[in-house]
Amino acid sequence: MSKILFRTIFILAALWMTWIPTQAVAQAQTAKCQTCHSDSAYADHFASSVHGNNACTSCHTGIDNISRHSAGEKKSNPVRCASCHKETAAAFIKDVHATSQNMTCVDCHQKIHMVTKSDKPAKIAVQEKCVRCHNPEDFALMGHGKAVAAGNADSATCTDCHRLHGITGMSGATPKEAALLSEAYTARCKSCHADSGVTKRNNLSTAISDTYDQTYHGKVLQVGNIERAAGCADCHTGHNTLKSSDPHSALHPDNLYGSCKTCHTTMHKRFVSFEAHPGAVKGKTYRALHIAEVFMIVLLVGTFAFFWLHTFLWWRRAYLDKCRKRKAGFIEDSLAPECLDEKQIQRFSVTQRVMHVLLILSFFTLVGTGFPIKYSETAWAKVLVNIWGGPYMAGLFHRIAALVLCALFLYTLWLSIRFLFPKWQLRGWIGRLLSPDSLFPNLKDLQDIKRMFLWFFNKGPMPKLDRWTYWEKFDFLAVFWGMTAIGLSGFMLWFPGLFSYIVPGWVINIATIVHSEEAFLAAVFIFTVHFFNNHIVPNKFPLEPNIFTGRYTLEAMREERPLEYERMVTEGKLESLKRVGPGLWAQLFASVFGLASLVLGLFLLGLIFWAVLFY
Amino acid sequence: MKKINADFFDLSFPRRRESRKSINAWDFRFHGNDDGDSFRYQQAALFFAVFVLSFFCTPCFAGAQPGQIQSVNVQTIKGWMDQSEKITIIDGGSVLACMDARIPGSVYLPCDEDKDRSFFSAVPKESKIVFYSGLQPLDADCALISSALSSGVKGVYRLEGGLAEWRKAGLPVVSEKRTPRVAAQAIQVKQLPEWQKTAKNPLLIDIRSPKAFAAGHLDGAVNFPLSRLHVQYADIPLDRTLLIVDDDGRAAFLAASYLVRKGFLNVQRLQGGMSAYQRGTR
Repeated sequence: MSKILFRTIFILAALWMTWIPTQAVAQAQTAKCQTCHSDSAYADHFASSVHGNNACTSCHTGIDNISRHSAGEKKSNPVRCASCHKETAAAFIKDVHATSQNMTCVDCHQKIHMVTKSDKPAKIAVQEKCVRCHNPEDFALMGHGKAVAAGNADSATCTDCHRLHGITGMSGATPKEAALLSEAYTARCKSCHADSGVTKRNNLSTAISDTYDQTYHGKVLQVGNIERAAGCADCHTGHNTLKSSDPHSALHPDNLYGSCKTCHTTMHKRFVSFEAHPGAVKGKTYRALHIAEVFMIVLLVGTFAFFWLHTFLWWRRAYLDKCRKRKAGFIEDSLAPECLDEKQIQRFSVTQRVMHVLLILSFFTLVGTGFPIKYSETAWAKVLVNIWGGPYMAGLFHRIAALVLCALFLYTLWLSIRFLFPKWQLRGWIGRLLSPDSLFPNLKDLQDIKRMFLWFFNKGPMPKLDRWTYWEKFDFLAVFWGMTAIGLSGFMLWFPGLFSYIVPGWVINIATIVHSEEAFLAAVFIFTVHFFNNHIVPNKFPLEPNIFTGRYTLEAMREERPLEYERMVTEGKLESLKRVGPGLWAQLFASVFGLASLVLGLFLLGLIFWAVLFY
Repeated sequence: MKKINADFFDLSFPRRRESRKSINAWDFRFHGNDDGDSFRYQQAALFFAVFVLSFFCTPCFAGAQPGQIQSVNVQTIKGWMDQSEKITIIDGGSVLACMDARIPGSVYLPCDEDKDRSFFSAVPKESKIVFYSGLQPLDADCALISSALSSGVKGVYRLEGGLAEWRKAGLPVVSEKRTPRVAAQAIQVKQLPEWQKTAKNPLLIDIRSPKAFAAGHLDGAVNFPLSRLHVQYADIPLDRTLLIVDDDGRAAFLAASYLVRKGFLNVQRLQGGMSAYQRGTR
């Protein structure tokens, strides 16, 4: 122990001994220089300056002959601050002061021989230095700057946002540069405004940052669409971080219209009631948002509670049935291909099948491009967006798919009208609406639901189903509600300025919630309930191809839709529905496209659950 | 019905009045005898080939439009330098900016000084000429650019982003006589009326080119182009409070620093220059 102590003392003493002569040499050299350079700056202040421990020749190198130097024949080499301040110099090379103004260290750090550490807090010292050239109106007299001057150590000084020696630009020469800066500034704003400690000390809330991330602006910024997203500084106009109650603030009610109009060139004045931080302040808009959110949650919970229970019970019953059949020696041949020459029953027309394929394509495109925005904070969001070719292309695909879906919806609406009013006949429309060929629910559907649940619990036989089951009718009718909600809200988000001529800005906030939650409902419903009911249920697993081939076996019809079968036999229409089985190519397409859609849907469902559970 | 017309195959414009009547320039595909058909197919193929080739060749010609200066970025110039291509870089800005910092090996030829046009005759024809300006926008109508374009060199270019982009790319510059910067306070456009009322003997110094100044300037401003400031500064009265006005706020800092070094005590600058003023008053 004493040995280690002795060695330590010895090393420290040796270091001290080497430092003392170095100091002495430096002082001797400085004194020598000061015999000629006797100005007050050198003689009186240099020793106590931050560089006072250095000799003059530490910076003024190249003086190897004092006589020639004294005679003015040999000047020292140019001073290179970078020889000691390497990191600072490396950053400053690309600093806007250097690149645009050819400034050097001494332009800011003037009177370099007298520089001492400021007795003021660093933030105030920096601010005072910057406003020597930069207009104090810009920053020092506003928001953050005022707080810094008042001694608030948490408030941002110039260098907190712009950095100290690596300022790459202020506003950006090109749109791309401006967008990159905007993104960087937003990140810097968040570094304080998302910090619970800083916000708590300053009577602020991290909700400002959190709620921004929930808006379209925040979400598209997170997936990398920096050129089309408003960052913090775009609305708060850079240095003007005054409270919105201040008449000079860009967010003051009198100035807000002008601020929004900078980007949203076509907009009505009522657009300004849009909440850029929805829910951060509990005002009138907050209540409306709260009601919308509660409504959507009730809708989601209600729908999934019923259908997931229904799905689980169905699966249980179907699984047990299948096991029983296997044990009894009935080996099902469900995976064997259907014979080409087998007579089958026509279930879907070519138009219906094409519509379903288009529906699948547009739906997957919408989910694939929309959910990265909904869950923009997830690790997979950016990856998925980049697969589409970046945020701009993803947005473009989303809109194209939305238009395709709208066209399908309108065409379905037209077909429905034609079904109800054939040749524009009004008489008998109620009968047609409630007929077995209609997709509108009737009393029998309620009875079927009851019987189905009884069957789930072995309390009765499976209900005899007709052409359209109650869950198929729900799928169809849900689209009418869903398309109205998701389509209308989607168009509002697509053209917010235009819609402000019809509705106030806060309705756009509601539209954001409705669009997002309805998308969740639709996607999760399709990937769980619809997939199960039609493909994953044990007697159809892994795929029910009739939506692609258009046909299914007579046996399947008798088993799945006995009422329709009986009706067709009674009405003598069964023969007219008989067709040759689907061709090889149709079966191949059905298998490949159908299974690929199933796999992709389940993969997307996995991503959605990942986001819900871990973010 | 088949319509035969011998004149139809003549590509030259019909001379005879009667033949002009019978020609329909757009229906050659469907009329005429068999021999004529094959000839017309050749014509069509020729037109098609020219049409297609014109698409492919557009990029070939795009880089060499005669009589026009083209933009070029730093990376492209760097590529030329790496391939040892002959490049002549010309600083078309002001003496002050050029002395302050310039691209190594560049030649100083100020745009608004009517001299040294003969310079371009000495530039090798296979060389490329790149113009840039240190702090002010390069004058699009610069007479030197016209001389360079008419000199028959391989290409005349303008450096995108000027010297700032050159420096951002980490490329070196030389400073022969740098003007140390001083703290010259910036005045915002909205503060200008107040400044004019409160400043002691205010004087607006417009350092833009005479042409830009003639196109429009602030009321009461006097034109001292940056390119001539080093010879004309003595004409500026020392006892006035000066406000330097430039194009976009980049050159005013250098001019203000230079004037302070020359003994002017009260020098300020208009933030953002005339661009900011025009934006602010729009």
